Amino acid sequence: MTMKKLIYRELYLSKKNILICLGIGCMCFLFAVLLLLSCRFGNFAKYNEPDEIREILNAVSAYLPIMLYSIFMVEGVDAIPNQIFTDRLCGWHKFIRSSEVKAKDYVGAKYAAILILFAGGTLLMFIVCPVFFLLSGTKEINLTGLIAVLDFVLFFTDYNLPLFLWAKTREKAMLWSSVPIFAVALIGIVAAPLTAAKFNDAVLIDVLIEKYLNGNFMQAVCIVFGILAVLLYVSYRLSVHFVEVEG
Amino acid sequence: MEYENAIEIKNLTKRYDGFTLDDISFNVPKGSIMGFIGQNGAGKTTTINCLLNLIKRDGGEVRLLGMDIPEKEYEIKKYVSAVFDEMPFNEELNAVILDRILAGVFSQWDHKVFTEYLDRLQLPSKKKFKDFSKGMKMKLQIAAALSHHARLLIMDEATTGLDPVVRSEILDIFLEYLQDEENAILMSSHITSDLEKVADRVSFIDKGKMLLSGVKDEILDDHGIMRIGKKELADIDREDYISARVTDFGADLMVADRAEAARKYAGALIEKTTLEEIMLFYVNRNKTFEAS
Repeated sequence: MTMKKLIYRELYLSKKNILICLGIGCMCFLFAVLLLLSCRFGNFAKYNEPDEIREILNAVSAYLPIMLYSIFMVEGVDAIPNQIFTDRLCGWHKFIRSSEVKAKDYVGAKYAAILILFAGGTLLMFIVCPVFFLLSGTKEINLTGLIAVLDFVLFFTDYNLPLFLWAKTREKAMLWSSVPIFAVALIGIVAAPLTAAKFNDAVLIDVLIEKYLNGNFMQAVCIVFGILAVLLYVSYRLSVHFVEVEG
Repeated sequence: MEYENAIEIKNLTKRYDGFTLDDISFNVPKGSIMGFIGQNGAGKTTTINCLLNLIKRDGGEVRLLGMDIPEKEYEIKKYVSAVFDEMPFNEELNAVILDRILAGVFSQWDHKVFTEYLDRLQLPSKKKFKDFSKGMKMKLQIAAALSHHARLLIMDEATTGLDPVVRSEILDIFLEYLQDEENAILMSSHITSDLEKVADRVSFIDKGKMLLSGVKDEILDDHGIMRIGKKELADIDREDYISARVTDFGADLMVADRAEAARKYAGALIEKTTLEEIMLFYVNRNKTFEAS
């Protein structure tokens, strides 16, 4: 009950962000449809070869999911830490700690709200993209891009939430706590493709790119997300600790 | 729950760089209002934060409603309400949404009581809090604090900055709340006139030290202002007064034992005093200061 109501509060206060996401999402989809119409009946159809048109539509098809996904992801990443900041300013943080709500519920609601926003983004992508695929006859998806977006978002969630829960101002937070958390997260991200790579004579960066894109792709992905999931849990525990001990 | 004192603080200590809350002890019996007075920065908020376990204390014991903090923290907090100087609810919310949220925050939340308070305090339920006046925001906070059947109300400078009409309305609600003798209020403020109206007991803190704590009427009866001429000041024993205020017309001395002072300095004019004056003279204790 407590968690449910607290999640409701987080989402209610993120309402503006969600509406902005939906608005931008609709505009992206509309833009893609207009491009499609132009490719079928307009100037694009008139001045381009069929192969070129196919490439344009494939590119739109590949990047539309990323755009839709990243809008929700980035908004989610931004909305909840901002909410923590506002909670501090308006005194909700102190109020909730003076109530019977446990730190793990207060923090848990924030993590849950972010995950719900992620799920919302995924759902949006799964609803909108098939419609475009049907209309355009394409079904290219830039999986690497999608995974990179999710990877980026989880990474920022991992260090943003404890950061904002710990500090009274963003500046102070950035100054003191971002460095170690950032370093740990970075090690995770770099370590994943490294462990998946076989070190031949290639330059390290080539190995990273190659393994990410071709080689042991799924293995690298699993390791990256495994590490990020562990970091997410550590981040959650750290946040609870900050709320309990540091206030 | 069996307890005599809603709050029991023994030797509470909290150290910061440049400030120490030093060995604070006082009790708030159930059925009473304790006025917690002191200047800004005296340590009132630090004491309240320690009471609510919002900050870790360095020493001493705290018991609320007969239970230890922090051992039974969450059990205790079911029956405790805290009201702060600023409204803690996001300004994008309205009372209807807040009602839903607080139903999840407090296990004993009473929607009916909250709605009744909204009606009584004439608070619009669908208006966003950003459009509320300061008085309305405070009333809303009080309504929320009293809508989950709390046994102890802890208020930190909650009436500061409010106009007399709103303050009076809020004080009336507190007196009504204390009709149930199981309830108690700790009210921190530097507006002593409010406390003079409603408090049963008073604790006075200054620079982290407790200077006075006891029944308000006894404190007011015991203390007095002795008005004398400037030349007579030298004839008064230093240990007989807390501090002296020099005016254009003479000197005012705060005495802690009015009856004894009247006996010793027969003929001297000794008048009743107020909490505000007691606070002023104690803050300037052991010195002679000029009236502003």
